[in-house]
Amino acid sequence: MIHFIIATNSEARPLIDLFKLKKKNSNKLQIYCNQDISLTITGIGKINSAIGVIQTFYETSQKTNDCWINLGLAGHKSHKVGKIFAIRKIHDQETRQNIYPFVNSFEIDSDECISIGKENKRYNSKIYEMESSGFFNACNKFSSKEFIQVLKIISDNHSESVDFKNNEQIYNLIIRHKKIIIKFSEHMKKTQTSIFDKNQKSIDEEFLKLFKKENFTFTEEKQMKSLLKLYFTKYTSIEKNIFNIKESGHYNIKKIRNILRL
Amino acid sequence: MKIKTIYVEDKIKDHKNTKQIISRINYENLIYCEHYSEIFNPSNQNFRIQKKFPSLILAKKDGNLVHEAPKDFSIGYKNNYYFSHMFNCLYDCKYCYLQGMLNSANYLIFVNYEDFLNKIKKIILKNQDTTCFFSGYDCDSLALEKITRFVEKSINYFEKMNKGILEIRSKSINIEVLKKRKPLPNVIPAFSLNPQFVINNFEDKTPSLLKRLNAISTLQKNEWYVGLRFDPIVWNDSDERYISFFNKVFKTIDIGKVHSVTLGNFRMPSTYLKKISKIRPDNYFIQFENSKRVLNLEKEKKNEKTELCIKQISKFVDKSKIFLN
Repeated sequence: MIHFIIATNSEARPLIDLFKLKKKNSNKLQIYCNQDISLTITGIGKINSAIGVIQTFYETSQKTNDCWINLGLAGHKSHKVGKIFAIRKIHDQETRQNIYPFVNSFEIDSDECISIGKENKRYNSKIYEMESSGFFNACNKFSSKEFIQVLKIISDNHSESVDFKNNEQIYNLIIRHKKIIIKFSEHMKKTQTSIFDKNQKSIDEEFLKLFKKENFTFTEEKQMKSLLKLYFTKYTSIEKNIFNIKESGHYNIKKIRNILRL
Repeated sequence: MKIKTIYVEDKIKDHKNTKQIISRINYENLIYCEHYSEIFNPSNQNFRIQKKFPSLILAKKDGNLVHEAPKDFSIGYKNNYYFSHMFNCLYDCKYCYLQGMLNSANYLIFVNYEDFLNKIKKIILKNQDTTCFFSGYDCDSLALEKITRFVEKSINYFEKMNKGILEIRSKSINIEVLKKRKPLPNVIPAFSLNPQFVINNFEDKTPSLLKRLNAISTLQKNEWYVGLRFDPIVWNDSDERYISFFNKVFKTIDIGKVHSVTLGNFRMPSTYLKKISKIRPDNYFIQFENSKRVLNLEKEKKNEKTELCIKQISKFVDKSKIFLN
């Protein structure tokens, strides 16, 4: 699943429409979903963003190594308003922590950003915004860093700015990047499935499907799971009647060892 | 080799080697960091994804530059040390312990070569007997030589260090750095070898056996004495195929210009094995070794196989040149 973490309603609306997301019942935050994508509106700031990530995790798939994207508006001294960037380095101005998101093979301009605690208009040579450090640290509890990305669209620079109260203007600024947003998400998803193949058997699930846990000692269970893992590197499915669910762990371990010629 | 992103530690951004390495790469992003560990060490990153798309990290190594080698790790010298001026390599061997030891597959190069070489000099001067240094323990020195030029600099240094021996261990056939200069008796290019069917199954992205043997022959024709490293020998077929492998190796190369032969079985700390087992669920070799660990399967078979290897190798090379690691 891909989770979008967005600070404000006006930044979220283009993506809700783009992915045809439906509002989910949640009494804490606004979460929108379809089968493959969730979007959470967290409120501004790194703490809100981190809370939003955790809330999203527990209210949606609860799966580790899902993909996470923080998309939002940001300022810069000279970058053109409307330009989109993937963030390759986050500097948290308050904690002075540096975070280095994975630079993947997707072709997109990238830049560094400063994650600030309070809004200010002192532009400098780095993108500045308010969510990415909290977002990244929270996501990294659940996903490997390759599945966590930050996309920022320039909303203001030293000479011009969008009207932040004008929802339509913000909507247009974001939706014009819909192709990039879709392709970037797909790229992340593809990377994820290449590593954690959908067909990859969950050994714990397979074990429970095939055996009665109480027939196995702790060590036997460990041994059987290790053998099942080995089995599935060679075969895609288990033939019927190989195992006897009523028999002991010892008996079934012997069976699978014979099949694997160990 | 395509490297899109280079990370550079602030403190070595003006180092001569940093500038030279950067100038040899067609990169897209140059990102400065305070310490390489910010990128290399965090635990929640995926080695497999990074292996497909590695970045380069240039850093300075402080302290612990050279380590004493494990007690039995030797090619005939009394004092043995190893050092790692680099972590990770181009190749993707299924049995590689680096996957279990490191959190990141990015190439990490310590550019302060002079500190490594000064430390080596101090150790050589301190020891009365000859001292051997192993390079390429946590990387493949020759494979990235075009970028690092570490081997070139080391060889120049060892030319003046008679009491020091340098082993450059590699699977690479990138031997230009050795070919273009006169051989040194105290520098030993050493090649890791396995039968071609093992290379096909377990040593992804590495040069074929034939190419490695040709590289060895070329160096020997240039008067280099070469080390042969059957380490780790991966047992994956009948004894006959291994016997024919040894015959092929020793019939292709110049037996008279073999410096030493080492033999080693697959070995890996169980924590590494467990970790790789998780990140490479599709890797039959690792899952097999992990199952053997969990099931506590036979060890005596290893000794039997080692005996077979020694018997075969000693048909061609004097036993005094064969070492078990």
